[in-house]
Amino acid sequence: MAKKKDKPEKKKKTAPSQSPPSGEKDIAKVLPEGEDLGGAALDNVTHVDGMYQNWFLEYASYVILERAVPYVEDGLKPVQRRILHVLWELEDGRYNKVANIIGQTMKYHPHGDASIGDAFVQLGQKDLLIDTQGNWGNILTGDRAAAPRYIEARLSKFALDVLYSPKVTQWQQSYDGRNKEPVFLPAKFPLLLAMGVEGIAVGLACKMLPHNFIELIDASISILQ
Amino acid sequence: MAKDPKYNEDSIKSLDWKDHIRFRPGMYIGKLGDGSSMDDGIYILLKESLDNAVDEFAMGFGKKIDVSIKNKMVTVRDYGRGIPLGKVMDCVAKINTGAKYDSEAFKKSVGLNGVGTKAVNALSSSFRIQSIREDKTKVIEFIRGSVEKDAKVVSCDDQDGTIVQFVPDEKMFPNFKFLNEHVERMLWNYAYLNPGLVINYNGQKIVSEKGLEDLLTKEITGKTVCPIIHLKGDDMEVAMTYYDNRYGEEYYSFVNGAHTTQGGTHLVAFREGVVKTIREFYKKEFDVADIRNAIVAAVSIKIQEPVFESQTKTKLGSQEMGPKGSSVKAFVSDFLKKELDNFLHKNSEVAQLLLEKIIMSEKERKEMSGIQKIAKDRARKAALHNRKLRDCRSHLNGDDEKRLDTTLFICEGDSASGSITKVRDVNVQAVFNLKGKPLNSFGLTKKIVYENEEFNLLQAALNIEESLENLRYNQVVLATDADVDGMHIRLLLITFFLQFFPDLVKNGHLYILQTPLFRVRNKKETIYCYADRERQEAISKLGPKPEITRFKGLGEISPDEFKNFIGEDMRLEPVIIDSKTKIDQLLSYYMGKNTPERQEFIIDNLRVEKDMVNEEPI
Repeated sequence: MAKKKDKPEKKKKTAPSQSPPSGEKDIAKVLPEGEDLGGAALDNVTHVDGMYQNWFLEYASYVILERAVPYVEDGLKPVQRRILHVLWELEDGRYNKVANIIGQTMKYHPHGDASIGDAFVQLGQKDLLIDTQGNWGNILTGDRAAAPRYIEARLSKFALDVLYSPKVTQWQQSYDGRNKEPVFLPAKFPLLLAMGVEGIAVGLACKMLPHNFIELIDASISILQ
Repeated sequence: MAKDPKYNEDSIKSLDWKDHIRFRPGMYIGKLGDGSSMDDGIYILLKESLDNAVDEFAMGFGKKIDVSIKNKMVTVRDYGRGIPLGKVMDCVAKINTGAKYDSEAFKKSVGLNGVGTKAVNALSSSFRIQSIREDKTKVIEFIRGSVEKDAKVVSCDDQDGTIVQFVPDEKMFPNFKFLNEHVERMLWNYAYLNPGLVINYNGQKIVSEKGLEDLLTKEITGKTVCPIIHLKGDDMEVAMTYYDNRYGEEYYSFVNGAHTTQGGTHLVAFREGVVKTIREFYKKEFDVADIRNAIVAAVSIKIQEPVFESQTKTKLGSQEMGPKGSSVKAFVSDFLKKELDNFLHKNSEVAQLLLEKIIMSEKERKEMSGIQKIAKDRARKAALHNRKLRDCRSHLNGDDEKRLDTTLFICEGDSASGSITKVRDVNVQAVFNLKGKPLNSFGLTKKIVYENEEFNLLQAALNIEESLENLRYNQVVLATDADVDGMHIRLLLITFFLQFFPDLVKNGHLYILQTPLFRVRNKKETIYCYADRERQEAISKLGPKPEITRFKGLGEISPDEFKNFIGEDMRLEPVIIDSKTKIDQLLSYYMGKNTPERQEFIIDNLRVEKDMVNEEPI
């Protein structure tokens, strides 16, 4: 890394050959022994180990922070949070087509529609935050949900009560800077424990079993007291 | 009749030597390039200057060579005899002049045709030569081959020798830069082949005591089966060993001190010779592939009046050792028969280890042969129609003059392959299409290359199943998105190459395509930015409200725009293995099983990036 400091040298235009030295004294000076031969002003390149380190960290950080591991504050992975945020934006008391919600979510989540759809169905199957309409599949028999163009969803009463509060929400720019989205939702309930989660990232993984709803309420009350 | 083009005495032109070199640089220095690749022209210029200096050392004059590269200016100073002062001008500016025509003054040297230094001269925007001989010195300076200053002989009390200084011409090598790695690698090769020679490179001392053994020690990146076998004789030196857990063959071959990266007759002879000697020693008809599997060897040979296949001297063509000598094949074969056989007799433990290795290779090959048969059938189909590949017309293993420009883009999904296919140069640019993320090949055996269809097709497209010799593309370029998944795919692919085809990476064929991250434009001008800093500069240059587009994936770039990124100004980042890196460790750390250290490392270095709204929006 020490070599980087020498980089500005390159900008100086001091190629001796362009101002020809004359006379024998100057000739002898062209290559004086031991004078500043160190610190080559060559270009530094990243070696394969540097590439590995850099890309690995970028990828690992992204998968940990933005993909597979939920935030402790609201128990949500980014894709789930974005779906819930969109549902709240669309909320007018009526059901919305899932396909439509997926499309809206893409404003915030720059990935494929299939992965958003799967995440949404999983969220709906927990039967906690989302009021579902149509065949959402069955986690016990393993039947899959109907296609997103058939099924509908809206926020449950519980979700509306517990999850949203724009005034105390911290906002961040969406990936393209055109919209704002919550950093996390100000949940008034230990959602992480209620829903449970499973996520495998790079170097880290997360596994949490879902907990009994009544017991969570009792526990919350006793902590608050 | 007046319309006909005239063809008379005036139409016949003969080009001046320097104009000819500048007109057809390929004949003299191979390809031009900007210095990102090891065989780019600027390194040949350096090599030509060094060859003469090293020849002086080889003849026994001057133990030291000073090399410095600064501000794009290269200086090479030897402490040999110096060019005879009266002939300095002829030596650097009169083609086909030199002392190496009759074999007396320079018996086994590389510079031969009296062309090298002249090519350097003609292709440099400034060139200065100084010869010091018996307390007198002469300096001549040139600009693009034309004499700028021809100083008189004056007295001088410096040590005898020759100083060559040049700046490669930007007109011939646009935006060139010397990469430290490539230069060091080259200088080290000189040091290994000339034990005792001290090269002083930008203050760093490059010297080797044990020659080729040092070279192998440095190049070997994994566990070996046995210690390095070092054989030395008149006009030939060999160092060899076997990798423990690696595939393929790895060779470093040299003729008269020049690195023949593409091998040639001496390497062919060596490969045959090893097989013959080992078969005779163990008195067993081992398969050729088993004897050579995982071998790593350095071979150096000295030949009188060697014949190369081109001026760049990367492939030996000589059949004979000298004008009246025996054939190269017989010489190498006799050398191995005698030296290697003796060595194995004297070192029975090493002989035992080698035998075990060969038997293991045999066993592994037989296990694979069943799968290989399926793969061969598949390969036959792939050869007819490799459905993931859109090929180009020329190939590296062909004889087209553009063969060094051949490039294979390995693309991620459909995002870029469509655009590249549309705007590529069909003659030299091919496209290979990956679907999704490739398998993590770390820790797998070579079987997977045959079982996994994608890897198999890639291997068929590159044509590297047997060896690197028939590689079809000079540049293999990973063209993935600049997002995190793109980075992951790069990791997986580099792992694949390092695991099964390390030569491809070591010989500098693998690159990463750099595409711009931002486009900043107003109505008049468009600037592409490859880094955040460049973007800020562009914004301040283009004034009040430029349109800024961020390219997250290659699919966001339209084909016509893509033309700029894979055309003449294509930015490639070479994948270079640092000599200090232990590949096995690197791979198992990043691509292997999760370890507590790695977990710790990730947690300590987590990269958090958030654009909060209360901050100023971009």
